[in-house]
Amino acid sequence: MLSDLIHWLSYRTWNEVLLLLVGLMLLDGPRYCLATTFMCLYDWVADTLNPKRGQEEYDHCPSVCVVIAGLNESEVVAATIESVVGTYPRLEVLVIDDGSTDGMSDAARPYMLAHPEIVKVVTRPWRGGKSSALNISLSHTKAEILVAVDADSHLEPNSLWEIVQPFKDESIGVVSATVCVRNAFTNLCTWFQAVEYLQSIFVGRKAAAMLQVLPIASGAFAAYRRELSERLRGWDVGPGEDLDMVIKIRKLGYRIAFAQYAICHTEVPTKWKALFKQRCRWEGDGPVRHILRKHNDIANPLHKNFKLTNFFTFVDNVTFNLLCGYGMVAWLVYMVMQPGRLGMELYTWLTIYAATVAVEVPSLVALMYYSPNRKRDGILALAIPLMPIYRLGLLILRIYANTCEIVYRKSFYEAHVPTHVANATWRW
Amino acid sequence: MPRRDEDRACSARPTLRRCDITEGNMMTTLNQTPVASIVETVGSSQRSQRRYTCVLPLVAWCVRADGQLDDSQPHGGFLKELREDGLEFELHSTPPLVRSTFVVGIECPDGVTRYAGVSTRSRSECANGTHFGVTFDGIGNSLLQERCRKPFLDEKLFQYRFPFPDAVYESWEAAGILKRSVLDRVMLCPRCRSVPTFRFACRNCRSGRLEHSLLIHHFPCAFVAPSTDFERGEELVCPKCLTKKLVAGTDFEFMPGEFTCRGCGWKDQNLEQTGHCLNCETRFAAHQAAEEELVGYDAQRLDPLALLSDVE
Repeated sequence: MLSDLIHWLSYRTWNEVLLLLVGLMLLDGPRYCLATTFMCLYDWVADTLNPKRGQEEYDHCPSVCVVIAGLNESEVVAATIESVVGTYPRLEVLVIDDGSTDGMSDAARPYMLAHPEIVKVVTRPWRGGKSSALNISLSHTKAEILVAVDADSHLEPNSLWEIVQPFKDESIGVVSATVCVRNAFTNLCTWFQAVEYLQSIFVGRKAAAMLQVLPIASGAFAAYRRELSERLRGWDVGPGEDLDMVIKIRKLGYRIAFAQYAICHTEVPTKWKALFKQRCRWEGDGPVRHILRKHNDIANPLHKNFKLTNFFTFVDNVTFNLLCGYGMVAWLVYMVMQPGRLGMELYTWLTIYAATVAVEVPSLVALMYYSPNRKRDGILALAIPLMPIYRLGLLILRIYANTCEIVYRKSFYEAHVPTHVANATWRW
Repeated sequence: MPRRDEDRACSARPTLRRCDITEGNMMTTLNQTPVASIVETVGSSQRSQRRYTCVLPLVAWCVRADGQLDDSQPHGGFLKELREDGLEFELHSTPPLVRSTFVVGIECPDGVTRYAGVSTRSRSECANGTHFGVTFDGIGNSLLQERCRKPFLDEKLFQYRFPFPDAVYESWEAAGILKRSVLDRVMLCPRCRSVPTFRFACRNCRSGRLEHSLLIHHFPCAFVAPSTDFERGEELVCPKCLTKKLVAGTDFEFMPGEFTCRGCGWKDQNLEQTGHCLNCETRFAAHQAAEEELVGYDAQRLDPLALLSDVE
């Protein structure tokens, strides 16, 4: 079969090969592969020339307030607090219960009693949404750095140290961190997500940060200068409040850093349906609502706050998260309709699949180069032959979510925000 | 109840019989077996109350002036006569008892021994021992009152205590007259065992002098700040999005904010339930309070009218 495939390929014209390559580049995997391979090569050379690179001591210790905002997270919040308390010297932990009905505050209260100087619990009588819950923290702390942590996420012992180090640079406004999947081996759904998180966050965001086009700091674990958050008067109504905040800080002229080894472990959906809902929320509110509609001024060269890095961020997001999806649909139609009828041939798809799997290999090498837990990540990488199928599924989902957002402004009707807040919010 | 051999006939469970209650000084015949019997007697002109001849086994303890019992062993005897304000009974005691205050326990027809505190009004020697005419009075009667069997709150020390010394209650309890019972559980000062007041207070210095702020959550921009930040003259303006004329409920909601301690400046949304001792002024966390059982005593008090009713 392989010889048949090679035989089939050898008879393709350059135009046809180029057409196949276009299809390949419209997928996520090959793009990640290119970026991470170059970054890995750069780091390998730099590390070889300077063996002490990346072994700096933790010499920056600003005061930190970890904000754990959540709704009905009584079962997991205690473990999250435990993973934070005692890992950093100048630490406050602010647990904000956004009107939970399952006793989340009660679950956190023993820690408040045990560490009255460190842990504070703020209970809202009714739900107001994550953004306002995070904004409450601004009136409760004077710490220099705000670290937002999801209530179902656990930090590694040195994560807080890692995430504050980039703030040595005064131009850094936000530090994005690595989010890993805690329940990776539950089923195939979580396994795929674990590999995706490793590739797109652990390695992918490092590349984006190097290129100065990183637009997001995961809401699950990210650090902000409190002074900037106060200047901006906090987070706007979500969903996508993390992306929105980062872009606003970028517009103030600050840069975004990525702390690769500031790792937090989070739970991901175990059911395909739940994953579908989560990604519809994520994909829809990102490029369309926030980049294309709300913050499209970053692409305007005449705007007073125009910066080239912000412009590239805009281009990167709109191109790869929005246009590539529709480009893929157009490409598929063209493949079927074009004179050679390439889209109707099995070998076309086999070639695309083989190429997609092949380009995952350099990506895997890059992942292993950076990985702090190669054994675990190596086992996770066994899913790579199936990843193209998963990525294709995500691409279809992204097209659907973006279309819904463009046509219906679907993100404004999400249950992520309570109805009384959603009704009062401006629609971009 | 301890009994002596010579009282065997009386101390056995009385066999109840419907008694004839007739006017006049007439006594029902006592069978050989112990019998509770009542004969109503018209009172003399000097004492305008009814007297009932009622034969029931009886035990008595002498009570000292300080309230303690004289002997742990009671003296046996017979109840002879019952009045609303007192009793007539005989005690088989050698040498004759000299105390004038007693606690008597009468085994009632329902099998329950009921007690009464009495003071001697008349005393005479008889064939079987000593005949006493007593009234419900004296320290024994006081101690059997409900108010003396429960601790009260001392207004000066803010501590629970009994009207009589503890030794009195212990001796009465040892004799079986009083029975200890838990009335309640109370939280006391861990230092002096006085009664504290409890209130929510500052977690840092435990002061109750607090100032409470009110927050406003503006829905459209998710901004949250103290309500004072929104006040611009007579109207509310969001400092973030500069929206004017905000309407409560539609545009914003009030939320409970932080408490600020006027004593130490500590800010927190959570207060701690704190005890403040009224006696020694100690402040302590509620969970540090000494939780103790508030103990009182139960007693079966003799009610003469109820006894008559039972026997009838």
